[in-house]
Amino acid sequence: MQCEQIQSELIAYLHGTLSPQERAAIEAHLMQCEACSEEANAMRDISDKLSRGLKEWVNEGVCPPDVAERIQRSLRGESRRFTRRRAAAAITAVAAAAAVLLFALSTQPQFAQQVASVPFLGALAAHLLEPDLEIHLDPQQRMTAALFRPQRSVKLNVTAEAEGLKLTVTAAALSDQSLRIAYTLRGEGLTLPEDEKALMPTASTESGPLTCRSLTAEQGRGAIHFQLYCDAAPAGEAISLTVPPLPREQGGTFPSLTATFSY
Amino acid sequence: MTMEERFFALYRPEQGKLYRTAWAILGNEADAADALQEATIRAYRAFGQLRGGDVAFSAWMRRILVNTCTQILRKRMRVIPVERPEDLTAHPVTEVDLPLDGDVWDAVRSLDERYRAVVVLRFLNDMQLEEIAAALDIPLGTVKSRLHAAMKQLRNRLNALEARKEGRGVDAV
Repeated sequence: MQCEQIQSELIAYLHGTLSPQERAAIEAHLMQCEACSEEANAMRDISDKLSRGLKEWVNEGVCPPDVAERIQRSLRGESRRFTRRRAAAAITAVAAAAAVLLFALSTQPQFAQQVASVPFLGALAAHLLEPDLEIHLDPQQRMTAALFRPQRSVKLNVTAEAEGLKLTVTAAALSDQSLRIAYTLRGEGLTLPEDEKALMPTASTESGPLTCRSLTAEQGRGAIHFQLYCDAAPAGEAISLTVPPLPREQGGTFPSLTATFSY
Repeated sequence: MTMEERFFALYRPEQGKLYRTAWAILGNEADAADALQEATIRAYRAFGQLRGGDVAFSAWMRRILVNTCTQILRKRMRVIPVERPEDLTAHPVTEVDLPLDGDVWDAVRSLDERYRAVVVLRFLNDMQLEEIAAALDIPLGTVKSRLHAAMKQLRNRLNALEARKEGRGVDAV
């Protein structure tokens, strides 16, 4: 073989794409040709340098914070869509079972608690009711929130408003030991805070603060609908709900708002 | 731990490396960010199908990213007219073209796109030449000739740079 031909095949030789015969022919030539042998060594050197250099450069990489944040945001959206798709699939696949289950859950609170302890059915019940965002200060509350069955429920329309943010308490419901307060926040450019726990409101009566355990949220058109689960308040006492200052898209925060209601 | 949390626990330590891998293949940071976002969503959707446990995540995620990037490259290359080898002769090596800090990456990034992609897929991602041909949808012979030409250019650049550095070193002394 001529040197020119050998050198054009060196890439294939060094990267292992030759047949054993072709390989042997090249090796035989390299044994006796100094120029080609030097060329092969130089190619090997540059290959090693490239491989090492590129890998080092990649291993030192840091993702720019704005890109990382954009990805995390898109993934959170994806996670919600995925949950909804999964819930929709669950409904289709086991529609009959779900109907029976939900009927049982809605009519038999004790039975519902038992069902929640069965892994598959418990998970299904949670999926069917999954909101956009859940904050559970007490992990046990997830199932309690999913299986909350009110004994008494009151529709409300109590509002508080300041600096473009409107808080509306829309309902209060009482179960054995828990109170569920439904409220809505509307505001141009209202965004969810980085730390979701910063969304947690406080609730209190004249006798003192109520322990808030869970918050679920669903984003609707132009508003975010919340359901807060806290300890039941003594009947007839006025309850004050205070939402914390929340971030504004344009920068800064909306003010904290308080709405007082009774049920 | 929710699925999202588990995914992020595995993904986050890899993100910087993944970002640079996409940048190396695609040649610019804006496309790298888009590719990484797309690959991350794809991976998240397919996370349930990951086999081999957590240890397999890094290679699996990288594979999804490289596939996403080569798909983008294929689309991009379709709109570039078929090259003749002489069109690909990269810019002549001049003092101005030389990488400033001697990074191998700086030398690689200054290559023509078609050269750079082949070099990165081979030396960073350790892909076989046949795999590169399939990923970029070009003949194996083209992969070989591009790699050969790219390595020649890189060799000249890196040697010139080393020589210049040595010169600088002498000056400094």
